[in-house]
Amino acid sequence: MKPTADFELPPERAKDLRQAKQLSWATLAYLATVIPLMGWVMGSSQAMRTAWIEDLLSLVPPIGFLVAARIRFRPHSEHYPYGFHRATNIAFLLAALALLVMGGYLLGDAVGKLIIAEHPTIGSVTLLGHTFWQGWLMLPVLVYATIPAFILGRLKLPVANQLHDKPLYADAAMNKADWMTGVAAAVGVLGIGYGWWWADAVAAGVIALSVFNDGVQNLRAVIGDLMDRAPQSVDHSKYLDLPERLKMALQELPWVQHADVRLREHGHVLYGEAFLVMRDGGRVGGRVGGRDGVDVTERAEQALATAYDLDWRLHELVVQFLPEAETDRASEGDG
Amino acid sequence: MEFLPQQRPMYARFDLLDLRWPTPVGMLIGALWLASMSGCGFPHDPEQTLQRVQGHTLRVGVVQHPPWAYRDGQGKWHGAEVDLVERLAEQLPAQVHWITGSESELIEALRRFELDLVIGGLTDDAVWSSEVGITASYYSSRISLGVRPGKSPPEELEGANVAAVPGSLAAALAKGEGAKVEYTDDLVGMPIPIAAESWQLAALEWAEVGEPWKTLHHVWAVPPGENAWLLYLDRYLPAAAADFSRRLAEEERQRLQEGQGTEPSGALP
Repeated sequence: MKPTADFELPPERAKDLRQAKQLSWATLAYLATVIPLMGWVMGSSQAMRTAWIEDLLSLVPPIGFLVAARIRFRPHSEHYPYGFHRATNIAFLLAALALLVMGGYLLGDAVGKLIIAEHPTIGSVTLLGHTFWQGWLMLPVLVYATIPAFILGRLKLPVANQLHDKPLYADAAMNKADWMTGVAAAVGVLGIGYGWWWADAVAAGVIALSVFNDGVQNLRAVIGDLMDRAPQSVDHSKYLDLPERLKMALQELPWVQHADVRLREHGHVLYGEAFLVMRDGGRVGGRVGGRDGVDVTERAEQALATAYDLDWRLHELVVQFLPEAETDRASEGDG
Repeated sequence: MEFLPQQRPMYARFDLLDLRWPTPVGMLIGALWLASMSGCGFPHDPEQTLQRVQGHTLRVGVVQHPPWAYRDGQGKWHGAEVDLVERLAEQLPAQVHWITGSESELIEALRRFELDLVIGGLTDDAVWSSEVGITASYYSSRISLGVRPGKSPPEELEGANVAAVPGSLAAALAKGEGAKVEYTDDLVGMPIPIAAESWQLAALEWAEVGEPWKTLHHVWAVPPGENAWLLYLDRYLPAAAADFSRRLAEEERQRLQEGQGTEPSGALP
């Protein structure tokens, strides 16, 4: 099969990609310190344990991004004619599944602990000759586990926006929302300190619910991506008007009577088809350069040039010239 | 970018994603400040154990286990651990109500807040350690090989003759090391090395040789979630139990002299 052309990022986007990779490595390095620290102080607090598992799960998106970044720019081949651009979506699917399953499990765990009315025991720790309540150790660790994650998230968001990288955006959004986990866990620990044994399980339930919700939202988003849903914004909140704009741009061409467009996303690359009806009767099959033939290749190139100028993400458009007969039906339907 | 009219982004779970950084920092600092304000008296017991025992009664469940805790013919309690509890009762202050039973019964009662403390040579690797509160270890004993003073240890443990009390953990560990175990209830005056716990060897004035095969960390058990009570004990124990190993060995020596032998707990008759 004929592979599509290899894709190359424009220079500014290549810079964004490098920055995204650096931020992913930074996230991994940061998590490598947070995870053992949280593991050490968490004791038998269910809320702390849930926050710790959430931190473990947040290892998956950056690793997925870095691995996918190596794969997605491989040369397109006969067996992979569209390239490897969906590698990020696959990594993202796995992350979303992990969040969903762990979130559900932890939620069940927290509810179970409330039902059996388990009183969490948080004992003491002795440091530098002083014996004090372990809860006091958990709070500064929570601050460290939360604030840098928030900062990393904020740094990743604009990069994800520019690259139109949905998994990276989702990862950034989850990092930014980490502060809520920190507050919930802190409230849980302080609640235990007050003598409310249920505060820990409730806080754990809240955190688990948010993890579960992340899993659900991300799963919905990535399933749609993998099913060639119409292109959406990087935060999955709205459909892009790029198909509309492409259609209008093509209709501006002098020889185009009517244009229809179909696009799909492959990672941060767009593939699509354009259906053009020619104004002069559309003598499809006219000889190239011939005296009475329409120079179809030239028109096709013109259409493609218009399209590719519109957005750096548009990688390949296949142009089809429709016979005139189809226009009657089409022009009745649209405006 | 080329968006249609603004809509709510999918990830704004609580619509707070676009907050500037001072807000989460402020909230965390606020929480910490609140915590420090109520820091005096933190943590609290959900079942008010510490408040309840101070000036009143301390219900102690005891697993009979000489020389840690045992009752004599007159019903009076003795033992190194009993000593610790009595001194604790002086400090609280509180009157001790001793309750005896099996370990599983006492732990279950503790779990349901019917007891305030359970003692009796308990270790931190027990199966119930996640169901109740556990203090930090106040004493660690080691199980190893012991030789009488002046004698040299065997070169190879493999195949060496070692004496141990039947049914003891020391016997099982010695066998695991490849020694030939000779079972005997009377370890006093044994010509061959014995496998025993460090306090037993100390009572006999024998020397521990080689690496310990196992270290047992001894703890007290408290009701689950009673964090203030646990903190109190964790502060009390290190100082009070500083010379625990000496006291334990002494108790054992005394029992040897008095010929106590009704509780075969791997101890010497």
